[in-house]
Amino acid sequence: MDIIQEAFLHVATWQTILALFCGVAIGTIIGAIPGMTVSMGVALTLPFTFTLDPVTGILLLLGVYKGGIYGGSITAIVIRAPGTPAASCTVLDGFPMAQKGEARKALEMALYASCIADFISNLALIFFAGFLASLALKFGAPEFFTLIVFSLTIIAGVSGDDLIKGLASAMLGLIGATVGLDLVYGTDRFVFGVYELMGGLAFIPVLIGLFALPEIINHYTHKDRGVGDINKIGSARLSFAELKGSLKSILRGSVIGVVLGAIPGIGGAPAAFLSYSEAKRTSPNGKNFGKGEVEGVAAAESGNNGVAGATMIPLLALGVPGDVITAVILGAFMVHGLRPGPILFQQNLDIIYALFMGIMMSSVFLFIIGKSSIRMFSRIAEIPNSILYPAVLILCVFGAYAINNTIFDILVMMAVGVLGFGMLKFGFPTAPFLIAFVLGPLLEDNFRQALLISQGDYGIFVRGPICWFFWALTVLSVVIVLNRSTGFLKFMKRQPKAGT
Amino acid sequence: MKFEKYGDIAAGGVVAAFAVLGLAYLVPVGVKAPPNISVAPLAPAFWPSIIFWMMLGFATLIIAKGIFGIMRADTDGAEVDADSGMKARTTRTLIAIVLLFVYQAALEPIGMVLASIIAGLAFTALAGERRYRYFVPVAVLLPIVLYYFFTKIAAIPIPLGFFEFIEF
Repeated sequence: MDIIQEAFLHVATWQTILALFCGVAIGTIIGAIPGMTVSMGVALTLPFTFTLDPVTGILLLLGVYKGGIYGGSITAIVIRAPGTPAASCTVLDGFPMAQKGEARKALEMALYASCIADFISNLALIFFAGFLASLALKFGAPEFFTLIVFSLTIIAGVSGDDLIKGLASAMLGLIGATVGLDLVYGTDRFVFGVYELMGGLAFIPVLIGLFALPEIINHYTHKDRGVGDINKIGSARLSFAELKGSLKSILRGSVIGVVLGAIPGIGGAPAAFLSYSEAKRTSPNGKNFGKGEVEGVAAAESGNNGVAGATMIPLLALGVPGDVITAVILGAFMVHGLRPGPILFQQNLDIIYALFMGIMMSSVFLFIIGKSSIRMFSRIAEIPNSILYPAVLILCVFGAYAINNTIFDILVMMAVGVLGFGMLKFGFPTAPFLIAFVLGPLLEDNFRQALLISQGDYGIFVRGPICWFFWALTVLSVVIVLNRSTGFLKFMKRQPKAGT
Repeated sequence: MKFEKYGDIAAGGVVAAFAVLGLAYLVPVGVKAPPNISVAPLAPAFWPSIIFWMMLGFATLIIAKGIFGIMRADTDGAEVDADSGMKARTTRTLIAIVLLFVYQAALEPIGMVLASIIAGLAFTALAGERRYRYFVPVAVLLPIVLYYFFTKIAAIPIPLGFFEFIEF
């Protein structure tokens, strides 16, 4: 009880509350700027924490992190340029909603889904940190590989009416992901002497190129030249019935986010896509996904925000940072003489409890800041497209450059933009390209790592219950897809009747 | 319209050509591999080769689908009317694409701020926008605001080209 009281005293200071509030606000703005990544935001804020109390400083960083994840969805919905990779899935339904004049509704759903998922993720961090950390430790390369194989079945769900073109698009994404240095042998792959390609194609320029640029180029193909062409916000607001209808997807997405977030190295994007895919598969509105379905926004946002609290699990419970952001936060702990892990739970339990309290408070601040900013951000959709699109292009150019401080990334963005425009014109869905591009490196690396461990024995891919679980899910998923596209099961059911 | 009629065949053809290029040239030349690899799937070329083969397979299916589509359309006798404004819009789109790369090429010599101002004006004008009092301030101020944000707040140096000597 004394410890909880002590923890409360750490949090209940105006400096801590203000720092957390500012952190969420800064993160929301940073997340909403294409090119400004959350990790960049957290890294930029880090020096400001040096002079602060440890709890205040760490909560400032956590605020930036949480605000940033939500902020990424704002531009994804309004201008089809996701601020963060995790928000790329939100584009699929968020932007079509904005085009239909429902930007505000999409932003509201994104906020509610984000806050609920964030809250659930925080609860998971508080109550299941130990259990989830031990589960995460059971994931080796073969388990990762089977998880990613299952995740790739999402491609069928986001391919729209043309599965073959979706698969071809995914192959383009996979091949794009192989560019750069080979991770096992360190040799060149498709580098052709261009040293900028050694690190591979940067994610954000590809993301912006694939989504925002085709939309901008396509604007010039419109008959009416687009002058005065406005995506009206409309009076459409999210109703309670719509929120209630999406609640199942939000809860499922939150759980997916929590489980994947607890596994080091996965990140928000796969969680968002997996949540989206599951929602599409099970929702009665599944056919509307990709065409501006509010439940699609809910599923994507709950998936990527469910990761937020859970990524802290391996950090706090084991001292293992799961991604770049938690690595920066680990740095903040160390600057203040704290070492996350089991010892922190023994020696500084008051700080742990204070962080838990602050993290819970961050969900409330996220709601307040998000709610007050929706009207302002949704106004962007009212700017005439003939002015908005060139402005978005400039924003994209600065954003693409800022990732690695190289103009080469802008060239990559533009090349992918032209490719994306071609895909748009020939009816190739871009989402499978993106999913394959995100998951491709994880798939290949874990496949090869597993074979390195087993010295070429493929039996490693069925080595335990986790592998079998994901293989079963994959088979089930493929059967559902085949049935949906060919009606195979219906045909089989009809056969006996035909015989009688 | 011919574009729509033969769209799948053309698209499938482009993807197939890229896959063949990959298998015949990009993988053999572009993927360097160490000499002694005991397990074949560990070779750096293994994964890209599989992807290119699958790409070729899917491209063939797209072409086949396109051919069946044409056969069906011929049977139905359906013909899409040609769009009169198509040529002008195609020209405008091609200009926009060329402008994109001109913009990229101009970033280093004249700097991101000036290049972005010119590009902003050019793209807005190309879209047919004539409300100068709205779009000129946006095109001029946005790159300057972004420059200040990235250099002064985010501490990311933005290239200024031959204006590098000017201290903003």
